[in-house]
Amino acid sequence: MQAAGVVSEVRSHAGRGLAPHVLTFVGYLALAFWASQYTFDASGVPLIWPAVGLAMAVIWRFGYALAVTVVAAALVAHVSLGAAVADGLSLALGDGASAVIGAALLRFLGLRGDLASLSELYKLVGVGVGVTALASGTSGALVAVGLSGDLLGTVLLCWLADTMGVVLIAPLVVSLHIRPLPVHQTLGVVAALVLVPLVTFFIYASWIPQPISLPLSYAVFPLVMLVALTLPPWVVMATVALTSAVAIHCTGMNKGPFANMGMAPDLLSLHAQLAMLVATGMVLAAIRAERMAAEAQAHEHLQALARAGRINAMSTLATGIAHEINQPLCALSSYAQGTNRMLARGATPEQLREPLERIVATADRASDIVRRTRRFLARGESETGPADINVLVMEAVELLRPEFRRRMVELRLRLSEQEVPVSVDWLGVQQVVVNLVQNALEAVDEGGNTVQRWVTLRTTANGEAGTAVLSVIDGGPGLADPGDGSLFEPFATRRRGGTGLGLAIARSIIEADHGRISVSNEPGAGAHFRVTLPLYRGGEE
Amino acid sequence: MSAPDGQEPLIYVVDDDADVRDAIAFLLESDGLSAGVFAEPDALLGEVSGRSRGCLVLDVRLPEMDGLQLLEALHARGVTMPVVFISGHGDIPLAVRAVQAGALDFLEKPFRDEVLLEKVRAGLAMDARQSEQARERAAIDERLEQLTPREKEVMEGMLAGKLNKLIADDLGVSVRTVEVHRAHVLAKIGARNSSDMVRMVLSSSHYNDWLA
Repeated sequence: MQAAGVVSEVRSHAGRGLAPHVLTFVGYLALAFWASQYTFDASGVPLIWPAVGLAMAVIWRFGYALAVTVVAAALVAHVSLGAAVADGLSLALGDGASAVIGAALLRFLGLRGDLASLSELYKLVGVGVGVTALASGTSGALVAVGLSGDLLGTVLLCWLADTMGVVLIAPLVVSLHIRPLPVHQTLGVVAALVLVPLVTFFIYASWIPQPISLPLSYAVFPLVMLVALTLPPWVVMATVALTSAVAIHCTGMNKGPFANMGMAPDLLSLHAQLAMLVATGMVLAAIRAERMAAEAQAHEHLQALARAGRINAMSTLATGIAHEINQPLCALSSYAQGTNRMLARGATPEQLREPLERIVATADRASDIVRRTRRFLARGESETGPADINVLVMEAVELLRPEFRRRMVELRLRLSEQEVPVSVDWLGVQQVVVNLVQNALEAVDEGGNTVQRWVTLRTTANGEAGTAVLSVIDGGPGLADPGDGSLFEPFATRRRGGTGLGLAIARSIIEADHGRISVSNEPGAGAHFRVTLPLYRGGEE
Repeated sequence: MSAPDGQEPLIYVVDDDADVRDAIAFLLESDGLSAGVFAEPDALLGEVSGRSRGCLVLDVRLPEMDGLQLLEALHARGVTMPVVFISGHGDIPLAVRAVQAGALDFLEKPFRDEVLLEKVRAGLAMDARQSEQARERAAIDERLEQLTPREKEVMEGMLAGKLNKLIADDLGVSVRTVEVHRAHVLAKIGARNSSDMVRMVLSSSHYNDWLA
C-alpha cells in the first residue's frame, strides 16, 4: 500500500524535474554499451538487451514524457554502436514504441509496483515478456535482417535478449523504493547487494574447475531465497540484477561454469539459469509479501473487532460515565451560581478567588473523564510496547469505578507492589480488564441473594515462570461449567442481552499479545478469570 | 428562628462526591445559610438527633446505603428534619418512592440555584413550624406530668365526656372532690375550660394513652 502511494506520488511529479530523464538517458546508454559486448557475431544481435526493460519501467513509473528520452537515448546508443542513422532511428522508435505499449498496458492493468503479490508478477512478466520484449524483438529483427529467411530465428533471439533485459531490470526499476530502513535491515541490504554478487563472482571467475563451478552456481539460489524471505522485494530484484550482471559478464568473457561452448550457447544456458533465479526471487518475495499483508489484515481486523468490543463495553458503562461527568458539572454549576450570588452581594475579588479556582479544578475533572473515555474509544492503532500492567489496570479501573458505585459492589484491588512489566497492546489489555470486570459485576449484581458483593482485581509477577498474571475474581454464584473453555467461543453468552463476543474478543487480544486466558471457579467465591502474559524483560526478546 | 435548645438551624449535605458536597455547601453559604458536609451516611447519623434543627440535602445513591434506607434510619432516630434528595440519575421511580417515604422533594443534578435554595428554605420553614409544634407539645407533656394519679383519672373521665357525678361514682369519691380535682387539672394544664383542655391534651405526645 505504501509503495503504491509512493509510486503514485512519483507519477504525480512526472514531467517535472529533469532527474528521471537524465537517469534514464545515462542508464539506457550504459546498459546498451554494456550489453553490446555480448553480441553474437552472426547477426549482430546482442544476447541480452536490458535497455528495453529499463525503458518500459521508467515510462510506467515517471510518465509518457520519458518515451522521448528513451527514443533519444536509443538512437544515440544504436548509432554509436555502429548502426546507420536510419536503422538507428527505426530501432530507437521500435524500442520506444514497445516500451510505451508495455507501460500503458501495465497502467491499464493497475500494476502497483510493490511486487507484493503474485498477480503483480503475472502482470509485469506477462506484459514485459509477452508484449514489450516481443514487440521490440520483432522490430529489432526486422531492422537487422529484414524480411529474410533468418527473420524468425532473429526475432526469437532478439525476443530472448529483450526478455532477459525485462526480467532483470524492469522489476528492480518498478519496485525500487528507497526509504530509511531500520539498522539491521540496512545491514541486510548492504550484505545482499555486496555479498551475493561477490559469491557469484567467485563462482564465475574461473578460479574453480568447471565440473565444480557448474553445480556450485546453484548456490546462488539459497542466497537469493534468503534475501527474498527477509528483505523488501526491490532488494531481491537489485540482488538478482547485480548477480546476473556479474554472471553474464564473466560468461561473456568466457569464464565460469557456462564458458567454453561459444558465446551464444554459453549465454543461453546462463539465461535459463538466471531466469530461474529471477523467478525464484520474485515468487518468494511476492508470497512473503502476500503473507505479511494477510497478517497485517488479520491484525487490522482484530483492531476493528477490538474497537467494536470497546464501543460495546462503553455502551454498558455509559450510565455510570454519564453520572461520573454529571458530578463535576453539578459542582461546577453550583460554584458558578454561588459565585454569581456573591458578586451580587458585593463580594471582593479576593473572596471570589477560591470558588473560581474550584470551578477550574472541577472543569478539569470533567474533561479528564471525557479524555479517558475518548482514549478508550480511540480509532486505529493503540500503543503497543512495554508497560507496567498495574498502570494499565489502574487506568481501566478509573473507567469502571462509577460502575462499582452504581451497582454498589466493593472493588478489591490486590495489585502487585512491584512493577509487573509486560509488552502488550495497551488499550487491548485495558479493554480485556473492562470486559472481565464488567462480567464480574454483572455476575455479582444479577447473581441472586447468596452473592458476596465484591470483585477482586489481582496482579502478580511470577519471575520463575516468566509470566504476569492478572486475575479477576467475583463473589458471584460462579460458572455452571467453567472447564471446557467454550465460554471464549464467539456467541457463547451467559447473560441475556449479551452479544457473546466480549470474551472471544478478549481471547483474541490476549493471544495476539502471546498470552492465555482461562477461567475456573474460585473456592468460596464465584468465577476466576485468569489472564497470563509473558513478563517483559528489558530488551532480551 | 430560634431553636429551643439554642441550636442554629443547619443544612446537612451528604454526598460521597467531595466536589459536589463542597459546591452545594458553598452555594448555600453564598446565600447566607449555614451548611455542614458529610461524606457518608454514618457520619451524618453520628451527628444528628431528634433535637437537631435544619434541613437535609441527601444524595440518593450513597456508598453502602441508598437514600431511602438513610431516610428510614433517620426516622428511626426521631430525626424529623425535612429531606431534599438530589440525584445524578434522574431516576423517576426512585423519586416517587422517596417522596412517598416522606421526602420534601427530589432534585436532579445539576440544578438551578434558585430551585435548591427555594426547596431548602421551604424545608427550614417546615422544620421551624415542626419545632414550634414540638415545643408546644413538650410544654403540654411537661404539664401533664405534673398531674397526680387521681387528677389523671379525673382528666380521663373528662376526656371521655363524663359528667362530674358519673366520674365521682366511678372513682367512689364525692362530686365535690371531683370538682376540686377538675379545677386543679385545668389550672395545671393551663386550659381555660374543658374543651380547651381536650384540644391541648390531643396535641400532646401522650394523647394515645387516653384514647383507648
